[in-house]
Amino acid sequence: MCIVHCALCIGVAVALSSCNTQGCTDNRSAIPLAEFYSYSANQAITLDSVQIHGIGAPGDSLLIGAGERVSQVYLPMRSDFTSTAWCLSYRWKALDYDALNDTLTFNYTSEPWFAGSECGAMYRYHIDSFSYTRHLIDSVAVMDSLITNVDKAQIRVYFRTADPDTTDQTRGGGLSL
Amino acid sequence: MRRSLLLAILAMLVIGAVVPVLGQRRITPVNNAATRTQSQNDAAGDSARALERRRARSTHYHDDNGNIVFIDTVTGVEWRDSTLLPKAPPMKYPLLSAINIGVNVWDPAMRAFGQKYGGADAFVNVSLHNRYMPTFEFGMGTANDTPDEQNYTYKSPLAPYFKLGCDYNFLYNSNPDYQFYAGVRYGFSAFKFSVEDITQAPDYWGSQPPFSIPSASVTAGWFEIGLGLRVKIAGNISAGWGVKYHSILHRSHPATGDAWYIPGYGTEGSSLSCSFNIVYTLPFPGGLTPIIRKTDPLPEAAD
Repeated sequence: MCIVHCALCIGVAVALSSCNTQGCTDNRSAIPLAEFYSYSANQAITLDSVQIHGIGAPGDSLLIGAGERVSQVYLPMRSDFTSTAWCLSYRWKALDYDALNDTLTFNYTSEPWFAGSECGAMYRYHIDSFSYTRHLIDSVAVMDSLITNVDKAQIRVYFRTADPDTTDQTRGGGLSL
Repeated sequence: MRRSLLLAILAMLVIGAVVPVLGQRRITPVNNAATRTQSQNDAAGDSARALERRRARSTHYHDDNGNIVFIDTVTGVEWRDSTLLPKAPPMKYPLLSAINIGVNVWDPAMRAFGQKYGGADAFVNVSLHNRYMPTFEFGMGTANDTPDEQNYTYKSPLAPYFKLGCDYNFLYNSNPDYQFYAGVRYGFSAFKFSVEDITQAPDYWGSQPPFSIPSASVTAGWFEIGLGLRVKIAGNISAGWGVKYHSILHRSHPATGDAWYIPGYGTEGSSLSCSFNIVYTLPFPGGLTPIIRKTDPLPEAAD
């Protein structure tokens, strides 16, 4: 009888052992997530008239079009290059000039990386340096220079913003020169 | 004069009152471990003396199992003295009981059903008292898998692994044909792996060419605890199956990512694994024969 009980316990354990797949809880590729911040208020903000496109992107396609309300954006790296640059255009009426566009450039090293059986294989990136213009961008912070598939904002873009009490929404949606 | 007489009478009264008190015996109740078990000791002594008297008036012979059977010469009744029965030996089987050689066919069987990784291993252990079984395992494992809905092919060439440990048979004083055991192991493997044919869906920058992760060398060590059963099938052949829980103790982390499959351990994220063993038993001479201890010499009867 004892042996029968033991055999049953082992059978249950074997059955349980076949249910150990957890799936990929992170992204299936390594893409840096950038978050927009107000420099003056030091808090996250949402923009509704910013336009982003990659410099050299096929067909000059937009990553973010004006009219979309965004507080975060994924900025995919070019795995076959060592640098990727992004152009940020502002489509508010008072700021809609090409001269006010900002450029954000990342220089990095890419390496093939196996993230696991569920998330797969991908490139991950070490950001070696970065640069940006300062028309409406005040500063940029890279929280972690190693970009993996972890779904976490690792880049902060701080914009110059007007005082909320005096903001003219038709002018710049809170952004100011 | 009158006053002296009064004092003398008073003194005699005081002495008469004090002296009897001083002369009383002081009795302190005693209640300790010795007094509490005194009656039991007396009874035990009585029964021992009674047994001695009964043995003195009995004759005896040894039965087929070597036990002493008394015959009361007065009543003719046969009786056995339980105090003279041989005590069960703590170890029923000798130190060197047997050598077991086995193969684990779980992984080959699973590969026949489509599993894309695994190998085979063999083990040898020495049965000590049919109770403790120091064990050494050696095996080879490999992987070649392109998971569904994934963008890569994982390859790990054939690599060795070994395990050291010990099993404990809970049924050590029972028939050695049936064993229910728990075991612990330390396992180690040194192997390589690569990830090939990695494709990525077109993204914002367009399509990208396939790439590969070159071969990386890894070492890993882990421990296992397990439960198992083993039953005799025929002759010296027996079959055993079990389940093991394992956990990584140490491993190297290549810059290109951690290994998914570790030979002898299994795949990442799986904490349980199974085994199905075919075992050949080589008994030592008399190793699987229970030890029977002869009865101690009959004590001298008390007069």
